[in-house]
Parts: sequence; C-alpha cells; structure tokens
Amino acid sequence: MTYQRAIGSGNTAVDAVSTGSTSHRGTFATAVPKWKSWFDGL
Amino acid sequence: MTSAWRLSLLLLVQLLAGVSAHAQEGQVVKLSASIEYQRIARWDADQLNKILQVDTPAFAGITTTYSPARNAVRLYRVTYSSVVPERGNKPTIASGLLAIPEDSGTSFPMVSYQHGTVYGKQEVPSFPLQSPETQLMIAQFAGQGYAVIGADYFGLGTSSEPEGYMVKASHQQATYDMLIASRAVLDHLKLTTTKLFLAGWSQGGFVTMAMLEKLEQAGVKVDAAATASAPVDAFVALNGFLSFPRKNDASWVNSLFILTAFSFENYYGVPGLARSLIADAYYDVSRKAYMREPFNAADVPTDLHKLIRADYFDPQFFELRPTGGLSRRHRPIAGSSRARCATITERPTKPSASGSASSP
Repeated sequence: MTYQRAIGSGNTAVDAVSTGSTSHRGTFATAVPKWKSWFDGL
Repeated sequence: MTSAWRLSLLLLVQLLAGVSAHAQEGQVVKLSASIEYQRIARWDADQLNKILQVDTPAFAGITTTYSPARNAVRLYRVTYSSVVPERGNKPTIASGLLAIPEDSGTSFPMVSYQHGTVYGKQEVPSFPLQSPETQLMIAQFAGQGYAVIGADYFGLGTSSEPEGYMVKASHQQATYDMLIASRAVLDHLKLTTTKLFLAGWSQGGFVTMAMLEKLEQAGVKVDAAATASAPVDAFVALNGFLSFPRKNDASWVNSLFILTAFSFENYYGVPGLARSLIADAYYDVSRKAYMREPFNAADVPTDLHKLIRADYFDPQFFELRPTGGLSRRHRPIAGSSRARCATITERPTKPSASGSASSP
C-alpha cells in the first residue's frame, strides 16, 4: 500500500502522481494542469 | 410611431441597458438574509493568458505549459452566513470567490479551490489581485469553461473572526456553506453546474480532504478531489518538522506553528495554548503575526529550536499536548470518494539573508 493510500484510510481510489523535483510553489504550478487534464476526462 | 421616435426609443433602451450593466459592477446584490454577492471584476482572455504565461512562472519560479484561456471571466465576491462549529455554532459571516466563464453556455462543471497558507488577510480568493494561486485557478479553469469557487476561510477575506488555521470543522463549514451560497448565486443568474471537483494546494489540500469528508457526510456528489503538497495529517507534518527535520524543510515552517497554535487556542478554547508552545522571547511577535498586526518578519526566528520550547522536540510530549493532540484527532478521513494526490520532492529552500521567513 502506498503512503497516500495508507493516509487515506486505505482508500484504493487514491492515486499518487509525482510532479517531479521542484519547489513548494512549483508543486502547485505543475499540479494545476494535471488536475485540469484529469477533470476534463471525467 | 415615427421612425425617429422608434430610433430614440431604441437608443434609450440601449442606454438604460448599458447603465444597468455598468451599475452591476461593484453593486451588492442581496439574495437572502444570509447570502449576498458583488461583481468585482471582469478579466478578458488576454489577461488570463498573461497569468498563465508570465505571472505564474514568476510566482512559482518554473515554466509550465498550460492550455490557453479562451473566454473572459466574471468575478464575484460572495458573502454568506455560516457558523463556527468549535464555538458552539457561533454565527459568523464569511466570504469567497465565484468565477464564471463568460461564454454562451449556461451550465458549467465546477471546481471548488481551497487556497494555501497566506500571511495577508486579503491574500485569498475573493481578493484575486492579491492571490497568485487563485489567479492561476481562474485562468486555467474559469478561462476554459469551468465555474470556480474558493472560500476565503474564517478569519480571512472580509471575515471579522481570528483566523482558524487548520481547524477542521471550521474549514469544512466555511467551504460547505460557500458551495451552497455559490449555487444560490448561480441560480439567481440563471446558471447551473454539472460536475463538482475539489482541488487544493498546501493548507488547501488539508481543507480539500476535510471538505470532501463533509460533502460525503451530507450526501453531496463529488466527481473527483485533487491535492498538491497536502498536510492531510497535520500532526505528521508538524511533528516531522520538529523531530525529523529534513534539509529541504522550508524556512517558513515556523509560521505553521504560530498560526496553528493561536488558531487552536481560539477555536478549541484552550487558554494559554500558544504561550505553552512558543518561547517567551517570541510570543509577542508571534501573536502579532497571527493577528495580522504590524511586525518585523525578521524578528521571527527560522530556527524552530528558538521559536518552540524544548519539550516539544519529544514526539510523545508533542502528541500529548494540545497542539499535537488536536492536530492528531482532527484530521480528515476520506471515505469512498475518488481522490487523487499529487506529491513531490521539494528542493532545499535557503533562508533569506536577513533570516526572516519567506512566504509559502
């Protein structure tokens, strides 16, 4: 079980996606278009 | 009616329509005893693409490829009644942002964005010029056909409360009531939403998972929830900074202890909590930082061993004390909803030359 699933009480619907090595703000800037792509496809 | 009269009448109607549309900007529309809204701005696609191509790279320090904005956005500040669960459901007034795509559509998917830690009271969604993170969400989502909402949280925006930083039930109440209020405003504007997505970064990731839990309990369908760098278990995050420090811990983590300690003291009703955690020499400047009173950021030490009393560097002691114990007990538990987490390895952040804390 991944850390993310463990911390989500074992919720298997939780996925962890790396945004690569960047800063705290960089995490956000990188994550936002990934959120958009995911939401667009649902 | 002569053609001259018809032309005059037409011009008058057009003029009145223009006056009406203009008057709406800034004018407060009272929907009910508990909800009102105010149009605060209209950003066109060029402005939104500047956010994506220029402003966000400057804010984040990296260049990222974004799909371009294609429509203008109307921005509204929504003010709504809520309650503070930790204070016996004390009535309060909260604020938040509603961003609506300006296109031919009348029904949009909706994203509720939960913002990260801020130092300024108005660095929040409903003051978008002061919130670069909100600007990115507006440009990436509202500029491309999504309705976007964002609660300012209790104590921020136009709220008169002290901040309730990482106070779970208050975050849940603020975001839940913002969703209800926004749907009422959309209904008043004869607009509807289709899907509901949640997203949040940093503190907002914690709030996103707390909101998800609340919506699951209320039976509100959530299509997906996404977070980035989320301290979903605040105890794990805080205890890690204290007892298991890493080279890449940021210089501003001291502010997380200050905001959490004073917020827990106020919201959970634990007099003296902040004073028991923060060293005497830094109590006053910490209180000023929390209350958003003038202070010199350089007076707040970046070294946690100076800011926090020595006993708290024992994990068991920390967990038994209110700051650790409350953060341990009040963490969101996602149930069956489909959730996704974006995680990252962050590079080391150097303290500034003055030793003062930089902003998250």
